[in-house]
Amino acid sequence: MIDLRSVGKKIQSLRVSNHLTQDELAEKLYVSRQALSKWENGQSIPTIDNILLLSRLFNVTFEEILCLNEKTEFDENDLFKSHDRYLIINKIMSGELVVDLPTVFYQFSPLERMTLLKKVKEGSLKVNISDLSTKLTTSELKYLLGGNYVKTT
Amino acid sequence: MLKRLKRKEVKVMNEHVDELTKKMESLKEGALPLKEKAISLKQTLEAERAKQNRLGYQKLHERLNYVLSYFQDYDQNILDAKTLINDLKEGNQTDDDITDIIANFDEYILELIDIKVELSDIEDELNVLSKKKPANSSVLEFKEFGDMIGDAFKKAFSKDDSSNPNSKTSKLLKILPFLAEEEKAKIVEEILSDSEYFQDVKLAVILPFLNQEACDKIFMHEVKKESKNLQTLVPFVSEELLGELVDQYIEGKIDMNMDILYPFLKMEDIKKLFFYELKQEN
Repeated sequence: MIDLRSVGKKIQSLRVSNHLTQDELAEKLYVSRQALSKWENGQSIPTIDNILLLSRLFNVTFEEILCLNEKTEFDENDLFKSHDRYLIINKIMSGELVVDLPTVFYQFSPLERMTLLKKVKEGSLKVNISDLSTKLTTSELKYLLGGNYVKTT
Repeated sequence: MLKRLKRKEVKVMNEHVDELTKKMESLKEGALPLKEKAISLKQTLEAERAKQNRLGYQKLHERLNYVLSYFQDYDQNILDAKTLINDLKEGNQTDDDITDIIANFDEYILELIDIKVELSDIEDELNVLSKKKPANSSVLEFKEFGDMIGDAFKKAFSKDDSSNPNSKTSKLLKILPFLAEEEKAKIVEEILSDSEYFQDVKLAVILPFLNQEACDKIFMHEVKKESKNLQTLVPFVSEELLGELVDQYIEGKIDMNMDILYPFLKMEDIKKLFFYELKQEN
């Protein structure tokens, strides 16, 4: 899976090192400046054709633009800093990124939390349930513990 | 004689009173430590309860901050959207740009649904903490504010207001986590049979609650239908299925937009796809 933010940063650094403005590069690629800006901010990703065009333009491989061989660094205190949300969640679910889930759980959106809880419930994501329970909302607890949920308040 | 008897009675009575007084004093002495113990226990309990409430409120505070952080970028997002729409007037946008704009709004709506669920959870927690009905709480007002924005978006961008798609999606979102696998399987069946009820439900909101097999089935169904919302479903599809689609694409068995797929592929599949595209170009 590709980290959109890393790709954006790479495109920006290649553009800057080639002394091009966003307008100039956008013109060379026949895209709008806004589209290019979105790529650089990691909000969207170029099409396959545009990646190949960029690789020819900057004389680099597509692997380099897509940061395929780069090791990604993560900060547990700010998991999504400079990274795509899907990438982080995917890496946690696949076990590629090991984090202390109860500690970082507050950083996820409700849908993301439910996605992760689903994996915990299925047993494919290992976590200390009692630690995690203290970080959950009432409905999340009900979902995770099902019939074993006891209201304590 | 009578006088003597009375004096005797008075004497006995006095002795009783003395005895009772002594007993009372001894009980009082024994009761004092008990009273102190009870006061101290009450204080401990109150302190513990206050601590629990403080922790609960702290947790809520963190979550409210998180919800607010959502809104931090919203003005910029809306300004960007406005710029894009203004650019549309000039008429030099491609179909891709327009699809992009619509996808942006879809994302905003999904985020707002997220916020609404979060706010509703916070409201629940707050009710538990305060043990009050939500009637006039500020959180409810904040939730209403969220609903208001959600409704505004819904009205502005929904193709058909009367079908009220977001409310259907919201309702489903609230019950899905608690449905049994058999019930979820029924929902999947309904989606696969193109049931009218699910026509305007946002599948991207449902997929996180379904098992991998169901997600893959629904995605393939949408691929066959040439759905325009594939982009929002890809994150929930298994890498294996995406890999198979790459193979089929290379073999010429399917013709689909690989641009939406490639960011979610495994590294080897990305390379396979790009080398194929390079070969085609040459």
